[in-house]
Amino acid sequence: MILLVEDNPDDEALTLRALKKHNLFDEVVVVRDGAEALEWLFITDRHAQRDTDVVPMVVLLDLKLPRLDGLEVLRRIRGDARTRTQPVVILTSSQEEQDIISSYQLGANSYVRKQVKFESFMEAVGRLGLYWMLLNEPPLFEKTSGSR
Amino acid sequence: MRKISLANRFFITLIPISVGGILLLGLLAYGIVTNHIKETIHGQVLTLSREAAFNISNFFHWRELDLETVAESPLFTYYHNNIDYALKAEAEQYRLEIEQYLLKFFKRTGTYNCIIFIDDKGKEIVEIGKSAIVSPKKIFPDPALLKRLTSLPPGAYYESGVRAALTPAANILFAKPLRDSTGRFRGAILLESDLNPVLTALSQLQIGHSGSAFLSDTSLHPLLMPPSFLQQNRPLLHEIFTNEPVPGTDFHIVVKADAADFMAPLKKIVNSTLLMILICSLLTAILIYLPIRALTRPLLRLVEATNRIAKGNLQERVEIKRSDEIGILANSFNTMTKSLAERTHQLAEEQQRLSVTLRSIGDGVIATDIRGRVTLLNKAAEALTGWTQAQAQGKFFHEVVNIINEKTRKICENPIERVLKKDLVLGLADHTMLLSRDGTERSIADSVAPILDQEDKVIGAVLTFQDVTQRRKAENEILRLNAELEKRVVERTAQLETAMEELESFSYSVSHDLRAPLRAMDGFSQAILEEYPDKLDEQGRDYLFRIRRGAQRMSQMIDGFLHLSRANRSELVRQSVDLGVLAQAVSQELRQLNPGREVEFTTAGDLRAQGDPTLLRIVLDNLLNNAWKFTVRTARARVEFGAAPAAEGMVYYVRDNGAGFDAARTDKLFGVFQRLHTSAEFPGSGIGLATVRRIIRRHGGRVWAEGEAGIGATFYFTLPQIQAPEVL
Repeated sequence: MILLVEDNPDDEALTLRALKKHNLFDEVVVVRDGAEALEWLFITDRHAQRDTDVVPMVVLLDLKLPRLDGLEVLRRIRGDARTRTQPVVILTSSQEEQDIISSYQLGANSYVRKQVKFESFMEAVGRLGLYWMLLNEPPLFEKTSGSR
Repeated sequence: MRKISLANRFFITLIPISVGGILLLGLLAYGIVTNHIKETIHGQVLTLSREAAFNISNFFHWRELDLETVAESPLFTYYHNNIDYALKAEAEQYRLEIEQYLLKFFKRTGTYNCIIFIDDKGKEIVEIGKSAIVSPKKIFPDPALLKRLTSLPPGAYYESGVRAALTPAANILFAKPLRDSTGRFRGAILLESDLNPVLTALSQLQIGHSGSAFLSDTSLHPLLMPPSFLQQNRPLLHEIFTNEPVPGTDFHIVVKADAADFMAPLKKIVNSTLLMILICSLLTAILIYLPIRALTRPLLRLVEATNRIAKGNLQERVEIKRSDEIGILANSFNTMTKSLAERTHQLAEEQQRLSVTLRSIGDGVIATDIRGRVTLLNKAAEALTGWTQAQAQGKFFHEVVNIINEKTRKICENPIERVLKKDLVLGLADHTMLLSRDGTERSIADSVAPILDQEDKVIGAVLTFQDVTQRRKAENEILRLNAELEKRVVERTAQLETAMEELESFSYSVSHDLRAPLRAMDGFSQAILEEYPDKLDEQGRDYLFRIRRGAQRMSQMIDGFLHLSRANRSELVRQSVDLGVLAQAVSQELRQLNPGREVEFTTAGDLRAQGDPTLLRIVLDNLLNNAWKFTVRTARARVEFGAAPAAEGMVYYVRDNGAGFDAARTDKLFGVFQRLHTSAEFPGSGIGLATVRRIIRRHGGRVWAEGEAGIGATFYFTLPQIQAPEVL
């Protein structure tokens, strides 16, 4: 499955539309801020009751997020043994050099820009989904069991 | 030390040398002569004593010969034969003949006192004494002698020794046995002689006044001395002693003489030597003294001339016409005096010039002696202090000059004294003021230095100072203005920093947030087109397409704007960049993005440059993009990227054969959002070239373009090698 971290409902809709076009819609979980993303990943608070066996094949992470921004979320993910190897793809509007460098330094697996032109955007999201869901061999996750 | 003139010194030195030399010669001559005399005398004595020895030896030899002569006479054999045959008368006859024979012998020799013929019993048969025949004594008085004669070997004779007690009157007895043909002892001939001949020989050895000779035995014990010798008993001063064996005897002749007897010539030598020394000394003295006088007189004149020059008469010259060293010295002296006069003159001129200069320079100059008393005050110093040179001369520095601190108004420590004590150059403390005699206050800048003599000893100090009242006012004004300027710069910098920060966050916001709405516009327009194709007529679809185009253009403009913003903000990192490689990469991308286009892309020249790779990539992106874009309607599109050397370094260019532009409007090309073409003709943001110019300018370079509508365009830029200051 894919964990999509996106606060903008427009972008969320467009992303889901793009995934749907590539038949990847059923496997998407959407969270709408950085804190929720961590709660979902570490199975706490709002997502304490979720199925612990579900492990995302990839996290699509926006950078500009309410409460905790994307870079901070990435830092937490890489800072925890349970999620250290979790594939994370930055999917964002920014093309700022600083954002790209910081993302890679914090351990992002990939950095993909959201294009304005819908055809380009759709192609990018579609390829991402296909690549991470079908082509890529995921790391052998430790079971994210046990809730705190 | 006593003063001794040069002449006397020479004299005193040379006299002992010459006199000493002569004395030494005299002593040497004396020694040699003395030695020679001694040797000569010794030789003479030796000769004489040998002669005497010979004579004495002869005396004894002759006596032996006499004995043999007598004994060989056949008369004795005849006499004995007749005795043996008892022919008394015949025997008597022979005895008389013997008597006559011996008498004749006696007379002829004249040497003997008596001659005696004895028989084998010792009985006298014939005796001759005092030239006459005397009647023989019955018995020979000495039986020991007879016994001795009897036992003498054939041919030998007897001779009585000269005894110690021998007096000049003592006799010697010579005897020879007579033997018959069978060797039987038949008697003997006795000859008795006195020693007069020996004594005569000895006394003939008169050597000098006190020299004499005597006869000694082998151990040189005196046996026979002439009467003259016995009289001599005084000790000999310089004894000459020889002994000479007498040949054929056990005797020695001993000669003693006093060398002093022969030293008379020596005295003469000594006297004449002394005289010679005296004369030589005198001559030497004269011979030495005269030339020395001749030498020292001109020197004395030189000394006198020197003294006169020392008293100041520099025209003094010495008249010595000689070709020797003294002449040269005099010449040198004259030359020296002349150049001394010239130097003194120059020095005086120099001093005059310096003094005039000193008095007329604009700075105040006050000099003091070692005790801090004013010796000089130039015109400027007179004007500033209110004292004249005449008034200040000899006064202590602090009486003339009052220096106070501008702020505290306290009197400053006397700088002259500090310098004199510590021997250092001193710049006065800042903000000092000079109080002149009439109470005027002036700001001054000054320094004090010690005056040193040739041996670096402090002999005074000099204060130089300037009136800096006006300057100090100006300085204060400058300081005030500077402070104000500084304040303004700080304020402006803060403002600028704020602006930059705002721009930064603005850019960030644009980058993140501005695109999302556009994406929504574009995306959902497309969604409508896809989801509801039946509910839209042609016009509705056209509107949606227009919305999409608008959103996409807006997105491009935002990208361009962000590029420009980044070109301004990002740090410029210079490194070596191969622009050719970058251009090829861009070209490759363009090909992929525009698969339908046929564009011939070439590069030429040395395309290596110094610059920021990221920013230069943006430059090439923009320029090549433009070239592709504007050749879209050209049949055989060509894009060339190259470089050519020029006066200002390498000039890089991107040339195309596209639409070109109106050359008259070149100035609009690089402005932000300035476009020479409509979006319908060629899409674009109007920011690309502005970004290019921004980046090239930040590299210290220049960018310009040439073009003609319908023919093509060329964009040039330079990248200086040297690190030019970054232009914002």
